[in-house]
Parts: sequence; C-alpha cells; structure tokens
Amino acid sequence: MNDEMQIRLRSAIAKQLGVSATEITPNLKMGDHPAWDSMGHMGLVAALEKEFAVRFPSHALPRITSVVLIEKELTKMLPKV
Amino acid sequence: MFPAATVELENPIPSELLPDFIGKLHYVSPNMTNIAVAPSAKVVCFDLKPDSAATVDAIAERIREVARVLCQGKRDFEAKILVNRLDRAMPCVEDPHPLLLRTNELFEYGPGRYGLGPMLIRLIDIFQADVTAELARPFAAQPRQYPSLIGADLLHQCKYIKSFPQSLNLVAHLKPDLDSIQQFARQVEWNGDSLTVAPGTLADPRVLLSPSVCFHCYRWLADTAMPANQSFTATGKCFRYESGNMKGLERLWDFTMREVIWVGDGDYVCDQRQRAIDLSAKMLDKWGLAYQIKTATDPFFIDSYGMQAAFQRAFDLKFEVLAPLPYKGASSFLAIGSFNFHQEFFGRAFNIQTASGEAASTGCLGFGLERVGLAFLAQHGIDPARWPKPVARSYESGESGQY
Repeated sequence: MNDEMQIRLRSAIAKQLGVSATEITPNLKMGDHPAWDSMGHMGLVAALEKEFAVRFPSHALPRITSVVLIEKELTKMLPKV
Repeated sequence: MFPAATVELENPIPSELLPDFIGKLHYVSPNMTNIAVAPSAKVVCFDLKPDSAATVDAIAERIREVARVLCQGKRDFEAKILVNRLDRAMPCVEDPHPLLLRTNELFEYGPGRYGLGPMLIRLIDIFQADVTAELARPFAAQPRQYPSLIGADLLHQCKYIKSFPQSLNLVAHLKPDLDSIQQFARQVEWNGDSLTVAPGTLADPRVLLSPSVCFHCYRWLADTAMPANQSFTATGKCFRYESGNMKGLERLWDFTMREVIWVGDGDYVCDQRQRAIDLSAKMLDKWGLAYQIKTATDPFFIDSYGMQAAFQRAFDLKFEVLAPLPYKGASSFLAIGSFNFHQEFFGRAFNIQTASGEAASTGCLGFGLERVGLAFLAQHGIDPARWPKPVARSYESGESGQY
C-alpha cells in the first residue's frame, strides 16, 4: 500500500473511532479503543468499504482486527497502481 | 372480523432473516393482530384492531422501515452446522399444549405466563439434573445463585439496554413518599386490561427483571485479576418481553435457564465451549431428541441488527441447539440451548483480568429448561411409557424428582 493510501486508511479509521490520526498505529487492534468494540468493528468495516469502494468478503471480517491486518486485506483487494 | 390489511415490501425478506423479521413485526404497533408474512416473503398481512387510532398507511411505513433496516448491510454467511441429528425418528406429531392444559399439567395465567404441574416439573428436573451432571460437573463449575432482579447499571454496562430495548422488563415501585403512595392508592384502578396509575407516582427504574443469568457473574468478578481460568454454573429465571410472539411454552415471558459460564483466557474459553458442544451432543442423544447445532445470532433491536448480527456470524460467536417441533411442520425449529463466546467484551466492561493481566474472555452455555421439556414432549408425546429409555427410567425412578 502506498503512502497516500496509508494516510487515507489511517484518516478513515481515526474519523470512525473519533481520535486523531496520529493515534492510529499499525498495531492498534480491536478492543484497544472503546469505540472499536463489536459494533465499532462493523461500523469501521462499513466506513472502510465506503472510503475505498470495496466489499470485504464475509470470511475476511474476523481477520481484519488490527490496522496492519486491515492494510494487508485492503492491499489484496485494491487495484495495483 | 377486524379489517384486514396488506403491505407490500420493496424486496422479499431473505429466508435467513424471516424469523427475526416476523418477530420484530410484533413490536411495530399494538393495533396490529394476526400478523403473517406471505410465502413470497414480500407481503405482510395483518388485521387492524377495531377503533384503532393508527392508520394502515402509518403502520405500513413502519413495517417497510423494519424491513429496510433489517436488510441494510446484510452479509451472506454460510451457516455452520456442527452437529446434525435431524434424521432421528420423532414418533409424535401432536401439539402437546392442549393435552397438557386438559390434564392440568399446564395452566395459563396470561400471555407468556404458565404454571407447570407435577409431570412437567419432574421431567424438567431430569433435564436440569442432566445438564448439571453432564455439562457443569466436567468443568468443575462453581455453583452460584443470583437474584432475579438486575441493576440498570449492570445491564447498561453489558450494553443490553440499547441492544435489546424491546425485551426489557423495568421494575416499577412507588416513590417512597407518603403523598405519592396515598395518591396512588386513591387513584389506582384495574381497567380490565391493565392498572391505571396516577402519573408521577412511580419512581424512576433502577432495577429490571434479569434477562439472562451470566451478567450477574461478570459483575461479581468485576475489578479482579483471576488467578486461574474458572467456570461457574447457576440456574435462574430469565425475563424477556416478547409482545405478540409469546406462545405457550415455545416463548414464555419468564423462563428457567441453567447456564455454565467460563472466564479466563481466550483459548481456554473457546476450548471449553467446544468441549461443551461435544458433551451436549451426547446428552441430547441420550434424551433421544432430534436436533441440530448451528450458527445463530441474537435478536438485536432493529437499529443495530445488521451490524451486531454480522459481527456474531463473522466471529462464530453463537451456536444454537435447534429442535424441530413436528406439530408445526418440517421447517419449524425451537432454540432450546446456546453456546456463546463473548470475546473480551465482558472482561473489558467489568475490568476482569486474567492471571497475565489481559482482559478476560468469557463464554457461556445455556439451556432453556421449559423449551427442552416442550421439544421433548413434542417429539415423543406425553406418555412416559413411550419415551426414550434413559429419560423414562429417570422419570419412573424419581431420581431427579423435586421432592
């Protein structure tokens, strides 16, 4: 994932969790922040799908539980530039 | 006859959402009765109660809203069937309710409220004893007893209040001041349907009737670091308001649940849940029940349904024991038990830590004992001479009898 996409990803996560983008570290994971609970996770999935115009497959949902894992999954889904 | 109404939906309701959709229709308006969904799953039929203030158009709009929100963001998950015993013979096809009512084994006090007679008590006690012996004892589960009342603060911490508002049973008492009590006593009337209560005499609700058993367990462990993984067991009355869905022993307003609860690290809880599923299958086989253990979701309220249900499905958080009710046709199942994994949700909410300082994971199994009894009688009839031998033997010997 290139720098621009990484910035977009972190801003989208930060916006959804209601925190500053600087708080979005690669190791941040579900449960680390009160807004990233079960409801928050699905809200985050929906927000990322909208931001990147993708649809995560159902089987990927339990995998994408940290910033770094989201980044990996998105990299597989986004067109290579 | 009430005036009949039909409402056409924008799209058919997907089959996996249909039971939840029908369940939620009973919360749309108190002026609806005889609610049904056409086989196309695209048309809702209902009767409007006479002298109803609501219009069909207003109700139709709400029904479409329920359909829209329920289907919003729906994701397809392949159902996981862990155990399948649907090929087991079910010798009975008769609805046991009329017979139980005729023989004084069942007494209806009102919708969702039933009294049980000696045969039903003894049968349910056998099932409860088996659940304790075969599902609680192998985990060395520590017995606990919890109150039927639960604090609003505790339910709020569990995020239950906003996730399941439709099921809540708020406990009301009078304001403890003389004016309110006197005003209440002077003005209270039984109007033939409900109590008419003077406004302002009731105190704000601080407690509710508990909808589940395990929430109490987490509150008891709050702000502790557990030296080791641990399991608990308790039986309790659970209270869930089900509106027009309440029907005989299938869906009671208050029911009895035996739970086994695991608290510890994630691997421990997942392993115990899987072990409990295996042990439950042996127990259900012994009872001679036809059933299936399958992925499931909780009946979340409309606003959060899509997201909460998708999360449960994605992470395999809930499996249910579904028993067919032959008197209702081939495709009608009753959930008689469930196996749940809550991840660290309650560990974080109540600050329960594992020995290594991580937020504890929790999980539980629960069997709804009246439903187990109903499924058994629906499949095998009410004559003990025709029951599967292990259950008949326990029944005749009175080993698990209440007295």
